[in-house]
Amino acid sequence: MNLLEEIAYRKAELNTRRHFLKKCLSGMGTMALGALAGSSLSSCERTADALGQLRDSANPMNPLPAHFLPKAKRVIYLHMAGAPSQLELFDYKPELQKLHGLDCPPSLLEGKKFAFIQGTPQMLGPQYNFKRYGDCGAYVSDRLPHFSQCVDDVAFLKAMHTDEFNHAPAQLLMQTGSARLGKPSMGSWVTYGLGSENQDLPGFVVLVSGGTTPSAGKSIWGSGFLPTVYQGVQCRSKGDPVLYLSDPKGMSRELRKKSIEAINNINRKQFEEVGDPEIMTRIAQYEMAYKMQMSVPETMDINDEPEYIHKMYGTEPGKASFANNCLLARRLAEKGVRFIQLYHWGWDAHGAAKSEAINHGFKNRCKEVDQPMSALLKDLKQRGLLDDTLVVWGGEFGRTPMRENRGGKEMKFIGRDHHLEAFTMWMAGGGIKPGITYGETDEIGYYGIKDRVHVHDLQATILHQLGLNHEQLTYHFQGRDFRLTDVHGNIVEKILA
Amino acid sequence: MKKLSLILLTTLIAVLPAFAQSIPAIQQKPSDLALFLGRFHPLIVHLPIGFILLAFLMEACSRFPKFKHLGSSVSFVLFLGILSAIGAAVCGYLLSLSGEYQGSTLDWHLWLGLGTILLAVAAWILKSRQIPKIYFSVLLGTVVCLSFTGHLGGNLTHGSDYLVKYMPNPMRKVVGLPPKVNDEGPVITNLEEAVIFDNVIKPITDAKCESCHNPEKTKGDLRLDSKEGFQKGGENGPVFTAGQPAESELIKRIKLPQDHDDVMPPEGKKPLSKEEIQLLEWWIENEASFDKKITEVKTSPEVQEILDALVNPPQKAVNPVFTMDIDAATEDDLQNLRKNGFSAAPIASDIPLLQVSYLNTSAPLSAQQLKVLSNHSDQIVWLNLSKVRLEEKLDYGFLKDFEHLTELHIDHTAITDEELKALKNMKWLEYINLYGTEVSDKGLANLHPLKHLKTAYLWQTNATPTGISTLQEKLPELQIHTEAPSLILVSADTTEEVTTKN
Repeated sequence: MNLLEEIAYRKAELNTRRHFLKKCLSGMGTMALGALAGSSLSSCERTADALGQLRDSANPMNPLPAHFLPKAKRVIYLHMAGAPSQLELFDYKPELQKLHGLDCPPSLLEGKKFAFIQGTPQMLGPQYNFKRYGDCGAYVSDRLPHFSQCVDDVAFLKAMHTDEFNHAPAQLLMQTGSARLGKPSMGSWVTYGLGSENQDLPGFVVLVSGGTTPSAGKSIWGSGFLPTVYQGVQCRSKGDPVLYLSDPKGMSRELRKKSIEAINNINRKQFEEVGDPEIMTRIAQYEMAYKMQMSVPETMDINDEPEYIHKMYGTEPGKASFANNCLLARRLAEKGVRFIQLYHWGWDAHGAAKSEAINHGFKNRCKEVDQPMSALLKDLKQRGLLDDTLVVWGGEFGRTPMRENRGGKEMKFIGRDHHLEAFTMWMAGGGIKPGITYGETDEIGYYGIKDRVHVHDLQATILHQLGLNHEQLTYHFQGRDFRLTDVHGNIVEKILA
Repeated sequence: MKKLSLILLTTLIAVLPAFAQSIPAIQQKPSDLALFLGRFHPLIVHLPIGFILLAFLMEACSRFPKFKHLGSSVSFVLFLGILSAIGAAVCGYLLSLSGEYQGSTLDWHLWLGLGTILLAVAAWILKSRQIPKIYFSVLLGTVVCLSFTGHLGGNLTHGSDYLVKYMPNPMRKVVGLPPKVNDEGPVITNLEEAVIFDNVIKPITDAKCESCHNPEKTKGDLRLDSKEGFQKGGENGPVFTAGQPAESELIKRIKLPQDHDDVMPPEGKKPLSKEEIQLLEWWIENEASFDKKITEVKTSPEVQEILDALVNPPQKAVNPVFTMDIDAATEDDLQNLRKNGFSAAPIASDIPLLQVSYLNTSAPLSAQQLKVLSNHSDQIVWLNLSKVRLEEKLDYGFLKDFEHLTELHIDHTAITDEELKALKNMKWLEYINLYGTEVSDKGLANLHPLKHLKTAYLWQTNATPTGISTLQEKLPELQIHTEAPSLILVSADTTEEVTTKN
């Protein structure tokens, strides 16, 4: 008996009657399951979604047609984590100044819940000076001297409102459409709906600055129940943008390619057998990682930018900063990345510590974002990218017109509490009417009194600009169709160009 | 066999008297059961059509030796045809009792239907008596009679011009129909002269109401094909109350929620637009006159706007290229482009035109790649060649084929003034990005004839202020972007340095 015969014999030996029967049974079970599960086996190659759009599951990031003619091709979302005070930046309230230091009337407090305010707080007037800027005459405070030169390019949403007054749920609501964990983020929905132009870079890139990730954690760029290939890919803005990008010693690129091919072939076999879309995600991720070894250093290295660009953005290569991330955002936009999400942490100005107080840390935050975000708008504009890039800026909620009095006592620093009834956001480019202000708050900036925009309305509008119908961009999960805007959302038609 | 024919004849004799008194019987309101059964007519009616045609086909085929065996089954199929035809006729009669269908078409449909049954029975008897000569002519007659009955039935349901509405003109000539009139475009040419009812209201009701409320198909005993019909009203009373749109049945029905049982037009038909409803309300508000002119009544600015739009339909904001009839790229086409390093996708699910970009700017484009790209020049509307380099000896002349482009990114490339001549062919172009190129005033002149151009980016080019202002004169609507004004840097730093929590 030679070796091969012996192997065959041993193998046959292992195949006992019991094994044979077991295999038969489980085979039948799989077949039945496959039929029950809507035959994922036969439909593994191409599936059409509700709109009849063909999805190639082997290339989940292939660009897809929009539902209708889009105005924007990509989004740069600047999320100010911690919620900046609208009353110190855009929503100028001279009336509030007159009430400064007076006790808050009980009518404003009845039936309200605040994160920290207790008893009767005092009203807090605007802490910085405002002036009107641009042809549109929009009010901007002296904290944003660069941005005040860009007001004619943006549309302000002055009467935004949300449902959540704590950071994590409010951030989740803003980014995933639900205050609870487990829903896909906006960037995931968009890449799921439109794919990505560039197959060498992730379609949804996340850049974080300000020292820490947002309170809601990485779930706010998670893919929820969508295939994980659509989750946001966080790139570091300091050091290697993605860890372990370079091949280890002794591993040539050719060898790396071969080993990835071998792994992917095995995975593909497994996919053919069980039809789990997550396997396709795994394959796509391996391929993407391989391609990113080349594309990421090329895209993420801002050293090759000319000096005047660095000056304009205020960037310092090698340092983690919002400025670097803004410049990266532009570079990624040029490379056809679909959704670029920036987070800048540190806006939670309660006045509990100097580092975040309205009269101290808040100023630093303003300084950190003012020049870069203005430079980003200007740079996109002169490069002809602002036409089809939608820029969105805002926090997860607003801040109270009352001074925070944590524990019912006057605090050492000036701060404002969380406020969900009114806050300001702005949008620019991507088919948004420039130089307008939409919505109005009452004379102390407590409630929106005209043209209020809910978080879901904002989401519906963002999707609309990308050519996606927010009611039709759905995913079937646990027995029902889910969408970013749940069962809400009205497009804010008045701000569309 | 004899027994069977006897049964058949008795059935016929039993059924026929019912038809004899058919038309006068309409006066009485039929029972719900009768109406319920009546509505099965459209369902059952396809059975006799199928059976009788099949019998005829089998009979014809059995003349050939290969299908000879079919001959013996004809009787059976024909018999099924007769039975189902009787069923269809009974249901059809019950349906006609509803009074929703009237006029000579209905009469003809009824009598021809009965004729079909009689002829089919005759053919069946002749077949069993083995009288082949007359038998075949009678069977042929049955089919002819059947076809006419079916056609009239179709006319009753869909309207008499349903079948030939889209018949091409050459074919119309052959069958002797007048050539098709192109009824697109404004109904009114002059608002001063227009009569409200004839020129504004009637076109709306003709498009949305008339197909069910006409002399042949008079749903709800209401006709909306003439002013008499409007005045007479239907089984639920008058159509409108002059001066009071909110009280008018017409408006009430139209404005019901889409899922209401009584909404008009009913589910599945195209509802009236917001503007159309406003015009109807405006007409009723102004006494619902049948002969007043537009100039004789009060018109709110809102209505005036809608009326103006009837004469001068607003220019579509969408570039005409998006509605052009261009063959959609197939999945293979897309794969081919992608295999050659391009990113390609249709721009929207209802617009098959393509967006194509080349983002791998480190590898120059080869002749082969350009060939693949040019193969799709008709389909591509958005082309992004930003920062792209070409292999040696290649130039941008290939762009001349891309006549349907609305967006072209050719910034940071080596394109020359000479090669920009290709732009002259891109008459639909809305957006061009030339920043970072060597383009000068001479090349810019090629933009002058582009009437759709909305934005041009010329930062870091050799264009001079003179060239730019000439371009602006030629295209006053065009937004020309050069360098954005630099942001004024504030030197005074009032910020306190505070270490943030990390």
